[in-house]
Amino acid sequence: MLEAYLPICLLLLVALGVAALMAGISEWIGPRRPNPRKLIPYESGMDPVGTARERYSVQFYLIAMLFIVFDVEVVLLYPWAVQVVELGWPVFWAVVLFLVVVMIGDWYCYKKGVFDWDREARQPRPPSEALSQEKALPVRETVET
Amino acid sequence: MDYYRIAFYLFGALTVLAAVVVVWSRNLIHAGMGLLLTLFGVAGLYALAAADFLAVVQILVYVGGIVILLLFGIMLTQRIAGRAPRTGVVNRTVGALIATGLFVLFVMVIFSARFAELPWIAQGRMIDRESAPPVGSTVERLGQLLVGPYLLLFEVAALVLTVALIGAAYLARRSRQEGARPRRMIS
Amino acid sequence: MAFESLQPKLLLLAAALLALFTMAAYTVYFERRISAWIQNRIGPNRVGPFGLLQPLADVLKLLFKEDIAPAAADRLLHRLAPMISVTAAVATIGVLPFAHNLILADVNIGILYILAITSLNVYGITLSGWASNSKYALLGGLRSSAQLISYEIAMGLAVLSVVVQSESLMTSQIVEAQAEIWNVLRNPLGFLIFLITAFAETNRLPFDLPEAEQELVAGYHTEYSSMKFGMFYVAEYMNVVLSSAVITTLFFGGYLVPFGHLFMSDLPAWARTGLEVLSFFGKTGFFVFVFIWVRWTIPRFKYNQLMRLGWVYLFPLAVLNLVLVALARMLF
Repeated sequence: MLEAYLPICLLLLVALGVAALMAGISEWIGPRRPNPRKLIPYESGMDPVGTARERYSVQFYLIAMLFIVFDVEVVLLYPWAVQVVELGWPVFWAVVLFLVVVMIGDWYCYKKGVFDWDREARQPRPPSEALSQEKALPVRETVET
Repeated sequence: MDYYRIAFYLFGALTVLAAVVVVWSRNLIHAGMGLLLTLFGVAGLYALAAADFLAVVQILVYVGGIVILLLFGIMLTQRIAGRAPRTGVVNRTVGALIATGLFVLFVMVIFSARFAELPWIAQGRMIDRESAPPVGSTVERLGQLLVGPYLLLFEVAALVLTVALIGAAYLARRSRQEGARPRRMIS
Repeated sequence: MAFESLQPKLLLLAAALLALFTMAAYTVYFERRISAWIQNRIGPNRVGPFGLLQPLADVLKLLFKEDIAPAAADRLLHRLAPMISVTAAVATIGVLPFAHNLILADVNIGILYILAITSLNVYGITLSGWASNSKYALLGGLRSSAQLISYEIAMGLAVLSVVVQSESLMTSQIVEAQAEIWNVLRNPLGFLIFLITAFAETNRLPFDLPEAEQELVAGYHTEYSSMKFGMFYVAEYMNVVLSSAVITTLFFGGYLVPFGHLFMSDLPAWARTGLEVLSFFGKTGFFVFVFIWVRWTIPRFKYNQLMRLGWVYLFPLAVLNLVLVALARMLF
């Protein structure tokens, strides 16, 4: 039974090797003429403003959290799915109950606006906040050439 | 040495080395990637122990989910802009003491346990890889147990996960409404 | 296992790799030709007859370009990210059945292996976005990873409904279970959900927000050049080919030849295998065409629409479909 996994191990090694080869060749063959202007991040031709290590919306984190919860729930269903008929009706209803509980969670998140990504865009910003945002913009950094 | 032994030591080495990276790396994102490799190595060890379903679930849930959550968390919470997140060394003495204590405890437990007499090992059969007929997947047996004797736990798991979900959604929304969200954000 | 018994597997592995790279390269070519045809243009036609050598020229050009990483980038992760993308794409071919008994590893949990490896894709994208230290890249990477994980749930549920029908996680068994009738006819809603999530998972239009040119330049691979950019590009097209292959396997009878039961048993073994391989790649090619066709037909979603579609519509629909399929299975 374990024998079946041997080609997978090989495949993973080969895949990693191919990827490393592709990345290595490009670094080896290509020319190398760096200059400071070339090495700044692309920002549509302007000098970069501030940094990319910026805080971002907590909603991305929330989505990752939702993903884990639902992923675990889906994974729990696979052992049932391979033998639905053998396990019979009581188990079927138990699974339906399970899914109902899962959907309650999804419904709650929907009601709380977790999936509502444009709520803030629809609400006008209070003027004071807009003002302080202007102030918070950092001074433009210029790159020495 | 047969292939299984080689694979075992490869996955074992991967697990341990990546764990060392997790502990030693001062860059939190690198540590997160180390954790990913550690969990991947553990998945390989599961597969070698004929726990195929567990191995795949390990990759699906831990490697594909939990580590992503960790990375998002690290990227989200870095306070000082313009600097890569770094770990600070805190409580070196206490940490060393606890680590040593745990290590001694584990070694003591491992050497005092008589594994051969444990019921689930004594009653279990050794799998002879050469002559044994191809064993079915562990998924069927898991399913029978999960919705049989452990049906209540199965349902409770759904409840617990839903409660976790509701808590997460509630907390995240509340902090935003109180105006605690940072002034400048990109989304 | 002795080395001798491993040899056919090694041959198959080499052949599958070659096929995957060739198909990915020519998907790029056909995408350019078909898009040109749809938009009433000519498309690449200079390199070789009908421009057929264009992919080769592209690869050579990429190889001789300068490999640039921003000075402020995290060099290690910047290098690692495209490697993860390519590895995750290539590793998927392990459990795809090309014909009866022609499969690299027919493992017990085959279809779950595909889902697990697909879930690794998200790292290539998140890391490239973060490591580049560029705002466009970071935004593209974040958006894309949130998109990938959002649609993975619905995809898992669609796969689950197929598993309910075939009562097995082995890809070969899933194909054999469709000998009488293809899954697409027994489970049309599941097919639709899987198709939509496949578009989202491969970052293709209408879900190509991570690289929405008008707002994000090139998304997570803005700061990549030379072959490292090529690796993301190749990985994207490999994922298109592999998604098509998985759709074929799950819903369109995989390698089974349509009406094959009428004449297949009279043929010699080599002809049967050949026909099955042809059937598999033919169906896969058709879905690759669908991917291209849709890309040049449908406009892009907005991000809020995308998240809404995934969580508010597709996910409950996938749960409902699972219950219905299981109910049908219990009743009939």
